[in-house]
Amino acid sequence: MQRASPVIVLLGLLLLLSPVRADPIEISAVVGFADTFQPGRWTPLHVSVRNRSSDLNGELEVQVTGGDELRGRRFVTAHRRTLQLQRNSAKSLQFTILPQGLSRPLVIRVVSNGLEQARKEIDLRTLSIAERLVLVLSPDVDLDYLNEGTAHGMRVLHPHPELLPAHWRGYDAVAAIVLHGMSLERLSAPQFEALHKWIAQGGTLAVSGGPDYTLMRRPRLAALLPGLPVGMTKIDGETLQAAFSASLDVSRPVYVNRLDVFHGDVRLRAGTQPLIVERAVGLGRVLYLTFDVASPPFNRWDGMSRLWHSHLSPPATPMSSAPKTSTENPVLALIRAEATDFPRYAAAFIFLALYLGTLLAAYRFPIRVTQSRRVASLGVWFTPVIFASAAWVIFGPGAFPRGPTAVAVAVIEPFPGSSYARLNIDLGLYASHSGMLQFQYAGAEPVMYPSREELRRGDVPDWVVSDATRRAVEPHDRRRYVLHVLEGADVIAFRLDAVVHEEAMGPRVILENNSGSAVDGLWLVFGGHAYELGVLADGARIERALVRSRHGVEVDAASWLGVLKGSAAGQARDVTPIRVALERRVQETNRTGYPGPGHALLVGYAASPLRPAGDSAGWAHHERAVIAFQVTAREKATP
Amino acid sequence: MVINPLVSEVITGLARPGKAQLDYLGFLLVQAVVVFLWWPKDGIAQALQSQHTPRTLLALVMAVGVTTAYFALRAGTEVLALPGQRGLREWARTPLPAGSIIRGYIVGQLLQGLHLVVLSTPLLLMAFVISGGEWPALGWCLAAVLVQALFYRLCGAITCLSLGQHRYAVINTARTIMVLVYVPVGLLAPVTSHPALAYRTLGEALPPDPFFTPMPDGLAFVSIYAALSVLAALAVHRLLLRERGMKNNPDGAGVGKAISG
Repeated sequence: MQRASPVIVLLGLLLLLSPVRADPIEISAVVGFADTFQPGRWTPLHVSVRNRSSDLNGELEVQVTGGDELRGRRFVTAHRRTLQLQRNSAKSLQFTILPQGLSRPLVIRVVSNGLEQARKEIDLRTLSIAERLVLVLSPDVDLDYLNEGTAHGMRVLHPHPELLPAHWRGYDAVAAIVLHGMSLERLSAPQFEALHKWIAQGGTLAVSGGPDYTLMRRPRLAALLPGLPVGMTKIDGETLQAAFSASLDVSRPVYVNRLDVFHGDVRLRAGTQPLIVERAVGLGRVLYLTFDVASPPFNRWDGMSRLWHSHLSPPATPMSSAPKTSTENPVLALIRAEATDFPRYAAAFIFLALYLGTLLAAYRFPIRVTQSRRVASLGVWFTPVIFASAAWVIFGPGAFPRGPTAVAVAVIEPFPGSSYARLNIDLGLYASHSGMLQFQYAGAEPVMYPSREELRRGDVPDWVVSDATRRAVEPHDRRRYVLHVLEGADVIAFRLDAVVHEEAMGPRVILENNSGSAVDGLWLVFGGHAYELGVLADGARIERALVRSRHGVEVDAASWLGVLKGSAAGQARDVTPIRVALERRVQETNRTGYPGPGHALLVGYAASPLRPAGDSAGWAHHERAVIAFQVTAREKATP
Repeated sequence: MVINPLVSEVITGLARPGKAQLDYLGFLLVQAVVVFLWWPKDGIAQALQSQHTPRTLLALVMAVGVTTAYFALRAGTEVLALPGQRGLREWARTPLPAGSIIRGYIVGQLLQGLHLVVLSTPLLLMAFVISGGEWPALGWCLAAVLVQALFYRLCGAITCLSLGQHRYAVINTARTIMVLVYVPVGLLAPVTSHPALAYRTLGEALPPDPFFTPMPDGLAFVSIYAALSVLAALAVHRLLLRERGMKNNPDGAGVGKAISG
């Protein structure tokens, strides 16, 4: 035993001195917000890669398994990014993913030269929650009391601002964001844009005031708030209790931010002083709480939980009465309307008859002149070659395009009073020959997911969503004549301002187009009539007083779509793709239809916000983008 | 350059009108009917919705395979011949070495088969454009058509040299060979079946299987039929020698022994 002890000591020393072996490439990840996400909703994924090995030039891939094994095969969506890492360096990349099932792990891989260099699997079961999220961006606000009880279905999280999504869709699971004592200037430009877009498409941002009100005068927040604070003002206790509750402790003086001018609705006031002001930003809202929620008496008041729930809960949406009949895909409808069809029977018949007739004539009536026989001997080869060339010209790529085709049907819904619009796009890809079908695109950056028809059928292929040198999508299924459809959603920069006044003789409309592209074949549908407005060029402003009897075409809830058949160029258009796309939007949003009650609808054609780029620029391409802008009609102005 | 007389006979014969051309015109008519029957009846949207490729090219390539094989078999049995083309028995009576006769016979058949494929090219291109598919796949199928036709031509020649005096027996044997090799053998050994090859290479592609890479079908088919053609050519060679009489043809004796032995 005495002999053994020096050996043990020596081995221990060797172990201590030996270098610690670490993985040459280390992957770490944060799923959702603070490793919490809601299944079935888009969520951000932050991946950090540390490279301790030699310089790395490859791709970072995130594999998300979707689908339902009971209803069909599972499918994998692989999100890929270029990854270049020098030795002993680290990089963080953000993805926006849609984790659906929990049974399969999330797989993160580093791939270089076709070989997997590192891999990490994340068990999603421990990270998922069912509640909607309330994100608190504050160093000192504690809203954890909102987590007590699940009746309201909210979970409060305190994510690090640097981990906020860079794409608006990453907020899909978020019900509201509470901001206090933090400048939005801390966010990167894509993060702020994502936040702004999320609010514009229906999100809720609640900003709490406080003594450091200069934070709210910083440009980014000032652009969102209903008004700018100009100082602090004291509210007396009785007035405050009248506004909130008698249970509020007002033993100490309470100061709130003072607003001189604001644009929005006051939801709560104490005397003349607004306490909660709401401003509509597109379809969303920004709440300005002029009091400090992190200071007494509000941080100790029992009623705060109820107050938060009543103000942060999204407004109830009316249930749709529209019939859910549309099962068709708009992409297929557009292919039917626009894509070049197979050559006709008649053309094939005439060609074949001509060819066989020529051969028959050559065999039945031979040339007898000796010199011409040599020509005839060549003719037996040349005749089919000439007809083969003719077949290629008549039936070939000129008449019936070979190769890949992209088809896109887009619905653009501008948000009122906002410089953004909601984009819903259906993208179809197919080819007449087997092989790789990578579609590179530019313009909009929608998050995309397999179409509901494919999900229903359970035959969704695996997809690769790449964001390398160009954004691209690619189905793994490389069979020819198979249509692959993705549905995408985005919020795009698109400024179209419209005011519609209801007057005795007809509507008066004021339009200003700053969308960046012309709007073609624009119509106003209002009060059972459709009014043609024509082309609205980019940067143009028009004001028209329309007379119902002179300018109006009588339409009903279904027939108004017929006005879209024509265009300024005089071309007839099949409105089926647009009808299908709009019906689907109605179903998605639980609306009652277009135009909604008390609304006017501006409808017209625009250029597709998503266009082929890079290697796909030469693809055959069919696109249809329609603007559907619902505007609240204002009552007749009183003289 | 001296051209093998059997080859020059084919080149000359192809340029002259005759029964063989009219016969193949009949086969072209069959191919045209196939194109017409398999021409897509629905629009491209329906094809995409059903996820089914138009099968025009597949049907046509199968038809080209059958018609050229049958045409070659009939040519081998000498039921039909190009204008001015002599039969193998006549060539056996000439001083031309048996090896040269076989070489000329094979090259002539390949030339004739190529001509038949060229005659079908306008139809093939029409079908190829609408059916999709890839050039290499089509190329393999057409190469298979040529090699398969050579094999049937040699089979026909064996039948003719064996049963030369009995015309009906020759015709019936040829038809039996055609049916037997095309149907039961094709079913039992799909790798030797041209319709099966066409279906695998030009039919609807199956979803890719990352764990299994199949052997190139075209190569296997062409190799098998080339090997069978070599055996058939050796048999023809031996029959030619028998026609001539073994004693007068020492150049082919070794080969004959090799076949028999």
